[in-house]
Formats: sequence, structure tokens, C-alpha cells
Amino acid sequence: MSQSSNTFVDVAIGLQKQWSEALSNISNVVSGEKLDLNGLDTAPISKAWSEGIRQIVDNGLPKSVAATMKLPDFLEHVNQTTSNYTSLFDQWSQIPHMGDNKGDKSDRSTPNPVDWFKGFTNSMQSWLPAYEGLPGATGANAWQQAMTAMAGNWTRLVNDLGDRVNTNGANEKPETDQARHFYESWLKAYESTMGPFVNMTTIGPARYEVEKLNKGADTYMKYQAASADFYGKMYQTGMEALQEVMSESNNIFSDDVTDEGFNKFYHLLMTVGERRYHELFSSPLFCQSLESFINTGLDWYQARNDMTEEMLKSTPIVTQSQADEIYREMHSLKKRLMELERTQRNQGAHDQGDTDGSH
Amino acid sequence: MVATNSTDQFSEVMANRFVKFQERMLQGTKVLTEPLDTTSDTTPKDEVLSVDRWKLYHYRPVVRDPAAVPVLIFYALINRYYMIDLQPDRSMVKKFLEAGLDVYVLDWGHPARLDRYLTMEDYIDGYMDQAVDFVRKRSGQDEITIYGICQGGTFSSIYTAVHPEKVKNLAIMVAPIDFHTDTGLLNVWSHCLDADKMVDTFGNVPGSFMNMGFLLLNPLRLMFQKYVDFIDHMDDKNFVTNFSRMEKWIFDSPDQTGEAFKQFVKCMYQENQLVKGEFVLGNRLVNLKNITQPVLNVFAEKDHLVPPDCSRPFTDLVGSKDKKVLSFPTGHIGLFTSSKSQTKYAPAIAQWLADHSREDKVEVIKPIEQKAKPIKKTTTRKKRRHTQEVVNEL
Repeated sequence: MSQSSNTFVDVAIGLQKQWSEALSNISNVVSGEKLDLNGLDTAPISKAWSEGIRQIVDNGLPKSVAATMKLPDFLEHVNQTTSNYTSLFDQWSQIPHMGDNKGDKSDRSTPNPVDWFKGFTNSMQSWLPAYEGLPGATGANAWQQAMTAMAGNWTRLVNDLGDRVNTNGANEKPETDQARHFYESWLKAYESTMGPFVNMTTIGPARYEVEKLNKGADTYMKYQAASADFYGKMYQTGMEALQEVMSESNNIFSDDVTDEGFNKFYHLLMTVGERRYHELFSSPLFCQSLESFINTGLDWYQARNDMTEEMLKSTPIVTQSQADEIYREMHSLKKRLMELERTQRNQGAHDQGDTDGSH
Repeated sequence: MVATNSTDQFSEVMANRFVKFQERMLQGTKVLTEPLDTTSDTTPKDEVLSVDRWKLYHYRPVVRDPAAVPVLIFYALINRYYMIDLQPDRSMVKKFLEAGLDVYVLDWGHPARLDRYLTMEDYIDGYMDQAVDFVRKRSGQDEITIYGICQGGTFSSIYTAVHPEKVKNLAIMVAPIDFHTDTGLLNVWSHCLDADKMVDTFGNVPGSFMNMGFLLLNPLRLMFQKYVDFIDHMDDKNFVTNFSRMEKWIFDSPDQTGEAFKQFVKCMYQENQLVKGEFVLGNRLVNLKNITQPVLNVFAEKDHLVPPDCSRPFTDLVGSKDKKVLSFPTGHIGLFTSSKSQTKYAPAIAQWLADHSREDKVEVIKPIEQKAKPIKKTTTRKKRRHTQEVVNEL
């Protein structure tokens, strides 16, 4: 069992290292360093895969059958794993407060998402050791090292972004600009690093499915970035409207707290909100964002449809595009029929006219 | 009323509001758990023709001798035709019948995926022409009056331009004709729509997708204020019934057949071909100057969907000499459902139609006047008017 587990762990470690490298590249992009895509060596990942597959086929599978016979060892391992996970969850339960490093408890009700995320990634350094022992005597140290390296890269990435956000904050840029900046950076990083992987030529019997799956993942990422930008603009406008209302509401409640005051406040909220949103919706910037939001959403929807169609091909069910072909043909036939009927009617009227004329 | 500056007073105001809110909620729960009659489209009518998805209805006349020239109403492909007969006390068609008109309406129905390849030519030169021919034959008139609403008005204008021999009068209502205006958000946004991609992806463009676009035009009013107002009046059964009926209509949104949608967005919204004289239907160039019939152009001054700038130019683009413009200080939907729609707007339109369909006076044999239900004391008139305005200005 341990040997077969080792095989899987080796493969996983190989992959993990590649992820780590990819994340490092993401960090570089975010830091403004030029990413040398050509320098991104994909050979090790291929090697890790092929080596892993070879080991699984040659050694892992036969030995895993034998390993399952060692039930007591297995149960002990499960027990140990459970214990380690309990410890891990304890660590995780502390995460929500890790972003609160300023000691200001009033902020806890509305945590800054960036701070929270930074806290989370920083915390990985502390809870990752809890992984040690999870795989038992199956390369735990190597696994943990790989995870730590990955966490390091994530931490760098998030710290970089966090610093930028905080700098922007110092320049009094709106909060949503920061969120948009985050997603722009993320998309840029994604396209620079993951793009080549998902667009990689696929081979093997499931290559079409994999291609479509990859495309689906790719379009989804872009849709997420576009929707973050779109909703960011909506949110930002709402916040700006609220700020304007709050600044004007002092006059409303300066003397009394009355029912009329609340009604005036509500009216002001609607009026200002409506005006602000109308300004936003009329702007070219919003149109650009809307276009991107809709188009990326459609791309994702289409990728999902393509994947479904691919899966349906092996079933005795008519796919949507096959049905559409039939519909197109039916439409064309109906149109032809209508034209013939019209011609016939006109011809009949013409003949009638001729007959009448002959009398 | 509270009139001092202190946290206690603030709490008192809040507490009072909360108590009132609780009372309304309790009463509202009773209203909502009772059966509500939200039926629309109740004016008696008969189905006289059915082709593919669409049906042609003939409203039963309420006068002894209805006008000889029938009026055929073409609604938009977006939403449903029964806005013209939403409820007995808010019914444009009822006003038309009372004015002695002989009225037909075409219900486009809900298209299925099968219909995705239908083009504007199929609708205008095919279906509309079939309906017009049917009504001409049934009424024994060579020419009939066409009344196009919203997108149905655009289609009706195109139809009249290519089949002028079949149309006696043309009336259009809140119809987009000149699409190149920046006063309407739909006109602005349409330039960033990739209609080809949308139709390739969806087939038929879902009604729910269109609805999201319409709600986005005024999100605070349509997705927030409207429902806050609903909660404010949820103890009023009459209000809740009318509100639910309107909601039912708003979200009864048929899908848009792919090819026709694509054509409408590209040729009309993006390229404004109709106004430029570049639109080709089938193999015929559509020239609005071919319209020489008497023309009525009705639009709403506070219309957010089809702003006046979109409709107004129509009158100058046609070749008619008998032209009339009726503009009303309301919104796109308010033209059909506001209180003035029954007392001012619909009667004025009906008058023009009647004047152009017959000259003798009509004798009403079956008045359908139905008074609105009394307003409960819990709701002030002012509040109700405000809420109605929100809906009317849609």
C-alpha cells in the first residue's frame, strides 16, 4: 500500500511543484516583472505525469490490490488522518480573525476582504504543518514542502495585491477600483500562465471532451473577471450615491427625528440613486463593461453547451445542434410552401381576370 | 409626530414604524392567503384564425353598427398583447369598442426553438400579411386600419410601406422608428450588443434575459422601490390584486425568435436602416414615403423604453398629408394603465380611429363601464398615486 501511495504522492508532488512554479510566475506578473513565457518549462510536468502513469501501471495497481489486504494498517492510518484533520480544522477556525491584524475589533463585523484574504494566506504557513503525517509514511515531508512552497507563492501574490490595494486606498481611490484591480491582475496572471495549459493540444480518446472542458474553464475565468468589473461598477455607483445621500441627510435630520424626515430621506435616496445610475448607464465605460460581461457570459454558456453536446453524442439522444438543423430545414420548406401558395393564388386571380376579360 | 433631538426619540420613531409595519404584515398575510383574481384579457372575443404559434382574435362589438373599416392591432413580439386589456377598468380595447370600432388583435404567442429561424420578412410579409388578408376578406373591406404598438408599430410601418394597397389608416403607438438617439438607454446599449453571438448561443433570446435588461434600465425603481411600495400597501387587497396582475404581465415575456431579433437589433437599433431608407424586406427596399394613408403617431413623453425622440420623427418620414401626433405626459406602460389612459389617452386615440373609420354616430348597446373598487382607509390617495406612477413610468 505504501508503495502504491508513494506513486500517487510522487505524481502529486510533481504536479504540485509545477503549480508552485506557475504561481510564482503569477506573482511575477503581478509584481510588474516581465514574464518570460518561453522560459516556463513545461517539460517537468509532462515528465511527472508520464512517470507517474508508468509507475501506476507497472507497480501501483498490482501492489495496491495487495495493500488493501492489510486492513489493520489501513484503519490505523485512517485514525491518524482523522486526528490530523481535526487539528487542521482547529487551525482553520481561527482564520476569520486573521485579517484583523490592526486590533480594531469594530472592524470585525465588516472585515476588509483583502485583509481577510491576506490573513488567510498568511495563515497557511501555520496550518500547513498540520498536513504533516496525513499521508503517513508516504512522503509527507515532500508533500508538505510542496504545499508550503505553493503557499509561499500565494502569499506573495496576495501580499503584492494587498499592498497595491492599500496604496490605492491611501490615494483615496474607491474601494471597487481596488476590487477591479485585483480581478484585472488575476485575469492577466491567469491568461499569462494558465492560458497555455488550457489551450494545450490534447490527445487520447477523451481529447474532445478535455478540449471542451478546458475551454469551459477558460471562458469561466474570463466571465468571472468581467462580471467582477461589471458588478464592481454597479456597487461603486451605489456606494457613491449613498455617500451623497448621507452627506445631504444631515440637513434632513438636523432638527427633528420625524416620520417626514424618514420619508424625505427615502425620497432623496431614490432620486440620487436613480440619477447616479443613469449617469453610469449612459457612460461609454459602462457600455464597454456591459459588452464584456455579456460576451464572456455567452462564451461560457456556449462552452457549456458544447461540452453537453459532446457528452450527448455517445447517447441515443438528439443534440440541440442536430435539432436546429431540422428546424432550419423545416423553416426553409415552410417558406417555400408559402411562396408556392402565394404564386398559386396570384396565378388563380390572374386567370380569373383573363376569363372575366374574355367575356 | 416626534420633535426632539435624542436617541430616545429616534428609537420611538423607529418603534412606531415597526409596529405599523407589523400590523401591515399581519393584514397583508391575510390578503395574500386569500384567492386573488389577477386575470387579464377579459373583454369578450373570439378566435377567428390560428397559424403556427399565433392567433387572431376578434373582439365582440358593443355597438349595433360598428365602423365598417376594422382595426387590426399588432402588438410587439416582446411581452404580450393583453396589455391593451389588462383589467376591465384599465382597458384600451374596451374604449375602442365603445367608440364603435370593429377590433381585431393578433396574439404572437410564445415561440419555441422551432421558430428560431423566423425572420422579420416571415413576420411582416408572411404572418402579418396573412392576418390582414383574413380581416379584409372577413370584413369585406379592401383596406383596413392597422394599429401597431411598440415594436408592432415598427413592423406595421414597414408593412404599410410595402403593402400600401391594403391599408386605409395607419396608427402607431410608442413605436421606435428613429433608433439613433442617445436619450434612451436601450438605444445606447444596443451598440455594444453582439446580436450574432447572442443568437448563435441562445437560439431564441430568452424572455428572462430581455427582462433583466429592462429592469436594469432603472434598477432602483424597478427592483427595489416598487417592492417597498408593495409592502407599504400589502394590506390593501385591491392594490395587491392590481400589482400582481401587472407583475404577471411584466414577466410574461416570450422568447425572441433568433433571426428576427438579430435583424431587428442590427438593422434597426445599430444601423437605423428604416430611417436611412436602407432597410430591405425580402428583396424590396422599404421606403416610408410610400405611406400616404392618414397617419396617427402616439407616444409617451416620459417613455424610458422608446423615448419620444425615437417615435416623433415618424410623422416627417411618411408621405401622408393627413397626419396627427398625440403625445401624452406619461410613460410607456402608463399610456395603457394610468387612470388618465381611460379618461384621456384611449378616448383621444379612439376618436381619431373612429373619425377615420366612419362618420356616423354610434349607439352603445352594452356599456361595460366598471368602477374601480373603493380604496381602503389604510392607504392614502397620495401614496397610491405615487406607486402607480412608478409603474406607469416604466
